[in-house]
Amino acid sequence: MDYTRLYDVIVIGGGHAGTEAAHAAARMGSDTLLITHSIEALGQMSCNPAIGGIGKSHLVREIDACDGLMAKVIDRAGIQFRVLNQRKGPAVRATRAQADRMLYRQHMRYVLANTPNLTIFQQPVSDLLIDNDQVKGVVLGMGLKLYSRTVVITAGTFLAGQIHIGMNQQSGGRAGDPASNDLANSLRGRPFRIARLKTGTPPRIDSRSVDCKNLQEQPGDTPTPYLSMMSTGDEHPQQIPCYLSRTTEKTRDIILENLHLSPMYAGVIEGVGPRYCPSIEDKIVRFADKPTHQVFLEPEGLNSHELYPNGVSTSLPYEVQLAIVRSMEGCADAIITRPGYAIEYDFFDPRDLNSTLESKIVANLYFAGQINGTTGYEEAGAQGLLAGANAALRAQDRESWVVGRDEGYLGVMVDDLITLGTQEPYRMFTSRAEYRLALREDNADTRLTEKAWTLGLVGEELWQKFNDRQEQIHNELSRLKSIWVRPLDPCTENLNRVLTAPLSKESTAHDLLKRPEIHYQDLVELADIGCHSDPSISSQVEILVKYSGYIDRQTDEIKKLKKNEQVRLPTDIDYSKIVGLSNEVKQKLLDHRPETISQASRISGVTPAAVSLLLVYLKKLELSHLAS
Amino acid sequence: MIRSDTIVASATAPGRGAISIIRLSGPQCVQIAQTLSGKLLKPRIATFGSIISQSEVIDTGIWIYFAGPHSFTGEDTVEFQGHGGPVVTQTILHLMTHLGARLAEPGEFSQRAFLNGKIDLTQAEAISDLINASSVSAVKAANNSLQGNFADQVNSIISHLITLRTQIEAHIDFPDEDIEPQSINAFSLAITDIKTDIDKLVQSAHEGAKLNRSAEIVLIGEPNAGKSSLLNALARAPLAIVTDIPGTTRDLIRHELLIDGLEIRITDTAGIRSTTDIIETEGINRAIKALQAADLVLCLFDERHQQISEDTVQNLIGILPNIPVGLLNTKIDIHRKPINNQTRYPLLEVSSKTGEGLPEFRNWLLEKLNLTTHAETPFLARQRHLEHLKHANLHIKAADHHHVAVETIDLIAEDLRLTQNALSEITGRFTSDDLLTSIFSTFCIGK
Repeated sequence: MDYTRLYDVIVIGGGHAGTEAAHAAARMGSDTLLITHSIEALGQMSCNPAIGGIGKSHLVREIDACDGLMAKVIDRAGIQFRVLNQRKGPAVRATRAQADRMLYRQHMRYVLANTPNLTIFQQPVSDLLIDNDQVKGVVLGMGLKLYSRTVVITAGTFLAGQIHIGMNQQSGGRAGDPASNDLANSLRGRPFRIARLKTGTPPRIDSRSVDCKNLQEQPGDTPTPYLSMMSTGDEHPQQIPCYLSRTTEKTRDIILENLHLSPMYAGVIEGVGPRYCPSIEDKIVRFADKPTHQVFLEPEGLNSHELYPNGVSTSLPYEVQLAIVRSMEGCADAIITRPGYAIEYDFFDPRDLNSTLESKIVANLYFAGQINGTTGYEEAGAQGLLAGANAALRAQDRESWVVGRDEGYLGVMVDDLITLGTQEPYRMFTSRAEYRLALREDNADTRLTEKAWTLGLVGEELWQKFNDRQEQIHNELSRLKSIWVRPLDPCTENLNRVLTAPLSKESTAHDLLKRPEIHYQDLVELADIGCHSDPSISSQVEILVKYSGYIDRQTDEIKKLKKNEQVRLPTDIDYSKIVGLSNEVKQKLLDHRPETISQASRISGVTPAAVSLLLVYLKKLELSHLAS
Repeated sequence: MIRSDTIVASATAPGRGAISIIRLSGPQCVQIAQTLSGKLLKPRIATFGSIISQSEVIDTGIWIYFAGPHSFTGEDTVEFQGHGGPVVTQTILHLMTHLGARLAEPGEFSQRAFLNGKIDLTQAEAISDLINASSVSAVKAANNSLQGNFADQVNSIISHLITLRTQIEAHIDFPDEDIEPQSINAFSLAITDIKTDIDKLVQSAHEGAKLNRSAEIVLIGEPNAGKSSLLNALARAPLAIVTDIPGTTRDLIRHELLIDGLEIRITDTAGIRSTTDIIETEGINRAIKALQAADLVLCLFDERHQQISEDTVQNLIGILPNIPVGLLNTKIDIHRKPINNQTRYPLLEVSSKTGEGLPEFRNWLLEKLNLTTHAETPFLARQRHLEHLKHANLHIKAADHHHVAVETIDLIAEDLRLTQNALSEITGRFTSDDLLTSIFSTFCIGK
């Protein structure tokens, strides 16, 4: 690290947001410095050892479509892969991988260490250098000042992190790592809106102390799926299964007896935890009549004896944790290797960010990851990509990059965060995406790669692969459109057995595929027209044809809304001057400071009439501007 | 919201005047006009034509096409000038919405005109006021439509839909969770049930759309205060028997009047005052009921009153209802001495006999009853609600059509989301976060 240099981008933090941010900025040719408190911990999975899952794998594919890291690394570190919702329709299909924590960290560090334009430096950061509402660099723990054009802050749960185990509390960023209290204190002194959130993690168990014989085994899928477009499936290490255990009536009794020792229930924790990832004590209290809860025993790695019991996150005292674990099926003699805990941390109100993740308060300062109120490696990584790319664009004086709600889950997440804020750690779900049918795991490249290429995020190899794929999809669609099947053709008899209404007039293979009852594979076999050699291409073609009606309708809807996206609300607009707006709406607009009319309309409580009044006011501003 | 769809509305006040103008604005307007008239309109040329639906002539009149930007709104606009009448106007609006137009929000034409630069800066405040006033009247009218049985049924459909979506979305977003697997069959049955309920509601709402009562007025006054004469004067024809003996209209008498073509129902009552007469007590009970359903109350006074106090009014109408109240002296031709009005209500003075003050009184009535051009009527509000129900119906039909195969559950979820969006237009926004809240409170999620 050269302290005399003016870096383009400084990234604070080496977690999932920080690594993607730094790598993205470096890919785009920006002189990038990643500062972490521990180089060993780069890419550390602090909570569960898994990547992907419903909604989340969509984000991983989007990162990958921009040539980011997460998918490539997990393909080399995943030890059990499954495709969830395999038979519920392509839009909600999702890949999930168990990770070997150590392999994940190793690969991540290897890739980062070999990235041109990227320097890694180990030091805590104690303050930001801000001049005239513009960030100029950072101050290191040892007092040194470093200068840069832009800064991306990805401090995760480290800002004023407070770890709770029972009634015992201590400062910490995660188990075994110190919190960033200096940075937290200096940030609290600036006009950011800061609040507390809480999350938790379960105790870890020694796998040798668990009796798996009677537990249900959960193997990965065969053939083993993979997440990156650049992977072939040969990257995978050895694959091993997970096991399914359950809590018992005894577990419930233990928890109910000891509830007063839970910092959540004793009122020690003020932060709000996620509803979808409750502690085991929450589950027992809220769903009192449920006799048992499932617990997935997930291996932490090939060279580790530790298991991650997914489903029993808790902050009860250690003695109670041990009793809980030992009351679970197959765990009577279990040994805990690390206690579970709850952690409270500072997060920054994401409504203070704009859609590039740049702060509205301090220019050239970007926020990504858990610091914005999200949870999950995938959510963090995707934000890191966006923030890192935009920091690089700013440093290069180029136009910023915004991902629309219609372009990716990344767009949905950022828009949700910046327009609505969040009351609990925000996690991605497919039901958050109104264009779910168009935002599929299988077409992330079609949605994002070309744009990412123009930004300089995408390498030559991926770009070639992408173009080749697009061409093949196009060719296969044309081929199906050019093949005609006639009612009197010999193959029609075969086809009619599958079709609900027999073929009555000459049709193309493309038209036949539109019928819900016939699949690509049946069609090509029955009509004897040969199939595409790459199943991922033929499946893409099948989805495009079968979903075309719905996707066309969504495209129309998107086009209509585009107009509203393009009407920008000036940042200095004085809402109190707008005649007719109720005080409640004025307050909401002041709190959220939406960037566009479209964002304003999504804020709860902002009525269509209020939006009309805003439009009229904007027009009035424009007219008076013209007049003067 | 900037919307680029085609909107339609009656440009003349409901019922008023000899002709009625219906205005369409937006990209589809020429096409809609062509479908209805069978004629291809040329810009700025008046074309005589009919509106024909299922080979029946609905109305005959003049079509004019103003090509954007040279139109009131700055968009392509078509006007149809016909003979009007509430029923014909509604039929035409219905045909046009069926062809893709949307009933305009109150003030939407002016708003589009302003946003397209057709109205100058000085009008900005006026447009803002208009949007505000209109949205207030729209909320009121929508509340009126959303009452009783209709509201119960809409709410019940929505609650079934939320339950179903909670199940299906949980099934999609939390496949690894301990959720009792719902059979695909159960989803299928639930969809069919919701579809049937929406169908029924659309039908019954159509039949019950006798909402085209424009307004209910209750007339209260002491015997012989001049109620019947007033009615006759307003209707311009004898309706009630008018004599000089007090007590002629002891019972409730209902009259349906057309004022400027608007149907107004007037209930004539002697007022709420304590009495021991059994027949009169019954009459008073009915009067109380009528007051509860009324849009406006008129208290009549005559030359016998020198001054009117709050007490006088309260004696007549009992507990003050939350609707406009007007005081009326109907015999200014007889007694010119002014009445001292000590109440907060306006005192209007007319002569039923000579007609003096009647035009001003009519205008006052129309304004108070929200029957001016820009105001939303309960009838229009119900029309909007019906349209949203029909949209919901289209989407739920699509969901039903998928025979709920496991492999297309993402498509069904989309149809259900669209169904919910359409229904949300009636009862308010239901966001994806509301859906998640429902999932988390129904199921124990938390891997």
